[in-house]
Amino acid sequence: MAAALAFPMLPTRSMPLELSDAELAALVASRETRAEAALFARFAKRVELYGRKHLRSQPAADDLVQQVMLIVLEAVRAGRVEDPTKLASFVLGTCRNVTWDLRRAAGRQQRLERETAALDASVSPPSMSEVDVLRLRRCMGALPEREMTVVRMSFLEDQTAEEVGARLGLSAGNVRVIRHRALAKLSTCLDAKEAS
Amino acid sequence: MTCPNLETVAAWTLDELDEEASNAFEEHYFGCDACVEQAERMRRLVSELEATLPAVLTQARRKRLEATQPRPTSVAVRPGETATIRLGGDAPVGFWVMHAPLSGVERVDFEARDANGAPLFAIEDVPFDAERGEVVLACQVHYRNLPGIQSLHVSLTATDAQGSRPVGNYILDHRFESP
Repeated sequence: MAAALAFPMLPTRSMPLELSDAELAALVASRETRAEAALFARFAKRVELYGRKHLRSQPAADDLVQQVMLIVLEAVRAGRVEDPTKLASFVLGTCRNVTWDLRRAAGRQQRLERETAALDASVSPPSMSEVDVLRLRRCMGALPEREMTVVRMSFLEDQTAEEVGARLGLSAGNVRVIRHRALAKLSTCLDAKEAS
Repeated sequence: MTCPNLETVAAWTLDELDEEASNAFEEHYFGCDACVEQAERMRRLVSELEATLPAVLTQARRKRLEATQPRPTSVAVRPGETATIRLGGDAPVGFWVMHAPLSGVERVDFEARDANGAPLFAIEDVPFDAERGEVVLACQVHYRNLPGIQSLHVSLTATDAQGSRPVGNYILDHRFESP
């Protein structure tokens, strides 16, 4: 389970977001509370993305955010970040270490959580709004035939790249490349529809 | 490193970059607001695709759907038959189980027309269960605005070693309760 939010969520309006990492670190070291909230706002989403990809579950990603941001905050407060201009690298390094520890120490627990998360996802009815579904379908309809088929078979029919390749007479590597290209086009199309 | 293209973001999201490229992307996005935004959008897109119900369901997807609450409505239909499914209210999702002789079949193609015979959509090489002789078509309450959906005229074409042949025509009537 995700730990309780442990960071002050004070308004950051008076804390300019264009502060450099080094400036932000200096303010945190001087115990400026709003700087701590700004630091959290800057990096939490990045850590969460990393956690979603490497730990493959939202609860585990939430835990990672809490653990990493606590370590980072304590290090910055204590002036233990050797080169504050490389704060982003420090946060990423901490992410990697904590992820490794989480996997090693709680492998079994994480497997259980992942399985539970997968089960939860599998028994939930489709939760997208009608607008989202229609938007996505329109963008899928604009894909070239082969890319649409690869997306359909990969994501909607849960087939592996090897299975899709066998159906379409392509190598698994080719299927992956087509899939990446199709996702890039879908993402661009959805951005454009959102903006219009 | 300049911002990687969206195909690289997609490959990273699907865990299909090699370790070196994956590490390089992570080094970059931790210091790049634009790439964080792109990666977050890509993650959302993949989640949406995985949550999207395809028109024609695999048996695995059908089983998962049957485990949801409220349990989806299902209607069986045989070649030459007309049947009706009712959606809305407590039944937002349903599916048609179209029966057909599919033993030994290698591929099934699906085509839908409206009541006047005008083509609506066609899907090649759809999932099917040869042993049970079934093709499962999903429908959702928000299809209510799709043109021609009230009376969908579906035909299935099967291909095996002997060639292609029609294996079933079905008239699938949809009735939607008011939202």
